[in-house]
Amino acid sequence: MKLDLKFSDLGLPPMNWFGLVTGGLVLVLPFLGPWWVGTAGTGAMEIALSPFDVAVSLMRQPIQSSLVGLFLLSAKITFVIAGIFMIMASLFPKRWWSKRLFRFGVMKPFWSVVSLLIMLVVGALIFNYVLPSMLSGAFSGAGAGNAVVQINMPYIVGTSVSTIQIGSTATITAPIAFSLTWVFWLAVATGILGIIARIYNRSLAPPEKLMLKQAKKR
Amino acid sequence: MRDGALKWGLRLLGIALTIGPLLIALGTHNWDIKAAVLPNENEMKEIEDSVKGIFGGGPSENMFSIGSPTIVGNKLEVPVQFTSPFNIPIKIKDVLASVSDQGVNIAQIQMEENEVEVLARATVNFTMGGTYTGGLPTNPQLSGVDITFEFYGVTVQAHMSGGQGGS
Repeated sequence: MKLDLKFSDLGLPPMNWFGLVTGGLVLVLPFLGPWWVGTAGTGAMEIALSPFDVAVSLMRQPIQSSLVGLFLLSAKITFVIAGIFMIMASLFPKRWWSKRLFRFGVMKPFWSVVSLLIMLVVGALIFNYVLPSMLSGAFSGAGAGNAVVQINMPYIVGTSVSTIQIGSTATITAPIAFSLTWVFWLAVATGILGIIARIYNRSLAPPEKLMLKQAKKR
Repeated sequence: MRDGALKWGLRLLGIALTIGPLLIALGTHNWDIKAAVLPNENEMKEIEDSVKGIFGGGPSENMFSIGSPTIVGNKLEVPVQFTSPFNIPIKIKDVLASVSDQGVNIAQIQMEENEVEVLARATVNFTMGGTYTGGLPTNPQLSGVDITFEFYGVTVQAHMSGGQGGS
């Protein structure tokens, strides 16, 4: 597939304008906040997720993992580097290094969106189908009688109510609400722009063989 | 040559950004995977303390003590003192109970307030009332208490079958 759109016809220099915008968005995405927010009750459990930040609090007490924190920092750094590379590659699409730098970051927003969605669906499946039987066993084993745990988690977005019934002595009910933030939709837009920029870049950048020749000459 | 170097440089950058955090996290935790992955013990202890009593033993029978009942028309009113065993603030939404006198059930009473806020481990007073036509009970006891309370938006309905003593 080749895009016939030529910005040079509009009097603009031969740059990958789609790539330039995508690069800018990739650069700022890590600093815009969570992509997805989940709550149980009003502060009993709060989760704010993005590929760059995970904020989890239980009973208003924040929980942190140093390994997860470092991975998220690494993701942030990767996006900043990818954004800079994409901007450079889009400004100078005919340089020998352009294609490689461009490829480093162009698909990252798209795969981040896909990974987050897969993670949320898998998480909901585990909570809905695996965790209830484990918790029922744990509560029953702890002498809480015949415990029935019923978790109805929405997939990605929505609201629901989950209950834990401990024999005939207690019933615990928690409203659950999941939502995607505007930053997620910006990430989706960045992902789509990235794909367009990648396709458009093929019409701008010289063929790989020529680039290799250029690189060898230097 | 240069293109190959750039290609490998970018690959190594990707690998470093993936493996680097793992090595740093493990290195700073004396290569203890559990300590690197799990939240620290103080955070977990605080959460455990706050939910103790709710998910642990559950509401106890000693939470309620009742004062001297009064009769207004055909209504029995019982002052109730509630001592919260929980380490977090709760809102009592409803309390239903049976009142017995000399071992005989004489009335069903319900919390008259719409909602009572209770701070962590605090004591609050509220009134329970219900229709009653007999004489003033001499040794009232609460039994079959159903309490509905809320903490951080989570609703707990608990049933206690034991008797709670009067004044």
